[in-house]
Amino acid sequence: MWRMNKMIHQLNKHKGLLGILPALLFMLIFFVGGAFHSLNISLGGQDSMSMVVHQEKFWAYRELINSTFFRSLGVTVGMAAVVAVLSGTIGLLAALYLAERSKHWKWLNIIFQLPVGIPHLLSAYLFMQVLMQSGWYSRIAYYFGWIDSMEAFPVLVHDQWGTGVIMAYMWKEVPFIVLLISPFIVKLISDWKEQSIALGGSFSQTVRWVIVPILLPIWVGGMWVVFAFTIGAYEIPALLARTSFGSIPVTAFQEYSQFGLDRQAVAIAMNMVLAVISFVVGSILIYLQLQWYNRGRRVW
Amino acid sequence: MVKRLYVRRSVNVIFITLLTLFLIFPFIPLIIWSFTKHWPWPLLLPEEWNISSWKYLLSVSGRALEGLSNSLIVASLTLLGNLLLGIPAAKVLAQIEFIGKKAVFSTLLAPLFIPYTVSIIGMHDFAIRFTLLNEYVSVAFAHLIVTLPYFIATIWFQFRLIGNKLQEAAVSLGANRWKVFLWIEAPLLLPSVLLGSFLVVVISLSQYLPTWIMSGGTLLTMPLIIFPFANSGDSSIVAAYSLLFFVPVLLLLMVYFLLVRINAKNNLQIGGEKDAIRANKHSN
Repeated sequence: MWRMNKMIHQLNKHKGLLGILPALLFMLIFFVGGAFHSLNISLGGQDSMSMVVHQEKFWAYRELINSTFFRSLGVTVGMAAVVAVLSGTIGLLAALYLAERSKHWKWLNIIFQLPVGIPHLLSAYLFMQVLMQSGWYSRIAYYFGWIDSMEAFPVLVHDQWGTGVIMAYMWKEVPFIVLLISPFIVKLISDWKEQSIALGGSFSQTVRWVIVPILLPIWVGGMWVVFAFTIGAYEIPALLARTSFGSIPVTAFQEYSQFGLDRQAVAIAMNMVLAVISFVVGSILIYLQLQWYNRGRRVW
Repeated sequence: MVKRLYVRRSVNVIFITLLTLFLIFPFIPLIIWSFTKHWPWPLLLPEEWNISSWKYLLSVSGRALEGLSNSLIVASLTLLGNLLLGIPAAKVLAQIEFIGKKAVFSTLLAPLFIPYTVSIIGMHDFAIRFTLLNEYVSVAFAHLIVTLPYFIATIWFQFRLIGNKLQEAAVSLGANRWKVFLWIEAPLLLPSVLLGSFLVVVISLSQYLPTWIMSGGTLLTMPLIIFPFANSGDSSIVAAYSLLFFVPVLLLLMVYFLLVRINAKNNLQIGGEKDAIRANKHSN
């Protein structure tokens, strides 16, 4: 009986914590549990819905060990990294500028938040419309006399380097970074500007000594979000990259949706590799952040 | 010195102007395309205008209204889930210290940092085994995974800004947990709940892959209807669909601003509350 009482006492003591349970259980069951269930399917475990029984475990992963996949992996990860770093840098500069100026130009803030509400699918389509050789930018170029034929306009969609893909991502992610960090920048500037002026510092010194050290974790975290999203997203490369570009989410989704249940394991394996990469990158970032805290948050 | 300042300022202006043009320009051909069927290169503007795409869109075979209503049903269910799960979780994370808090917080925010496609494939496999789940509900579950981190982070941030002092004062005056929540926290929380809800609905409306995987490609929400058109290249129809997609987003944005304004007005009538928060913020 006293054991029971003790339990009830413990429960009462931690009653405030109950609020977290629904959300935590949801994530554990569906996000973590779903991932493990997928893993199980991809390992060729017995409860796969597939009719074909693969004797060999890990067959889906073994199939990935070839040069095509590694090349695709390089392209996908590289592209995500380029998008994350570029949009992080441009987003930070834009947010700093907007924070300094936004009192005069409120509409600029609204423009910078427009793309946040627009799906990636549509951003891909918008960029297809403007970047194609018969697109709007090439018409403008013709109008100004920069080019004299459609073919003279550079190939930006379905091209070798994925220029269109990167631009379409930037169009979505730069405003995301601005939206994420500008509340912090505005608050930091209003808190510190007078003090740094009183101490004789310029705006760039405030940025370097105050804003960047405080903002760095959020900014890097934002870039990680962009990286993790870009590495796993389907719509933009599906519409703007050519087939031989080899973006893994696109290949994986083709395997998943077109080649039946047998190939489901391969699709999961591909996505699993991406998830692991994102996790590893994140762990390295967290490790670096802790190191940086230990070194006293010096930037350079 | 003055010259350097001048150069730097003009570099700034050029940078921000280019960025602004980069953000706005893609919208222009979209709007033009939705009102024309024929627009050959190199015309900057088409010569003939018509609204046949819009007519097709709103006809039965256009399926636009079906897609819109499916999208809105899923988005509302997702929002409901976020409100039920997100607010209590954010409250605990902001107000109570406990062992393993960092681990819990990271688990809740994990879908932001790790691609979620794997989990959703697994969830789909769960769902087809236990066929008890309605299609809308199961898609909303997938969207909930995508949106919950954003919602929790938004609400958590506001809870941190509110702090703990007003609640302690109320408790010392004899209010219980629910009264504190209803009369103190809920009104102060409202703006960020509105912002979070706006984000959730917009993100839910724009999901393609999670919706496809979770419904097996059968629940036709707006993105699922638009995608094949975007791939096939009938520019005029896609343009009209895209603009139709903006309608709920813009409406929501207006509702959001309206509600925020009404809320701010009410707060003014109550009076002093904002000053109380501000004072609290500074002392934190």
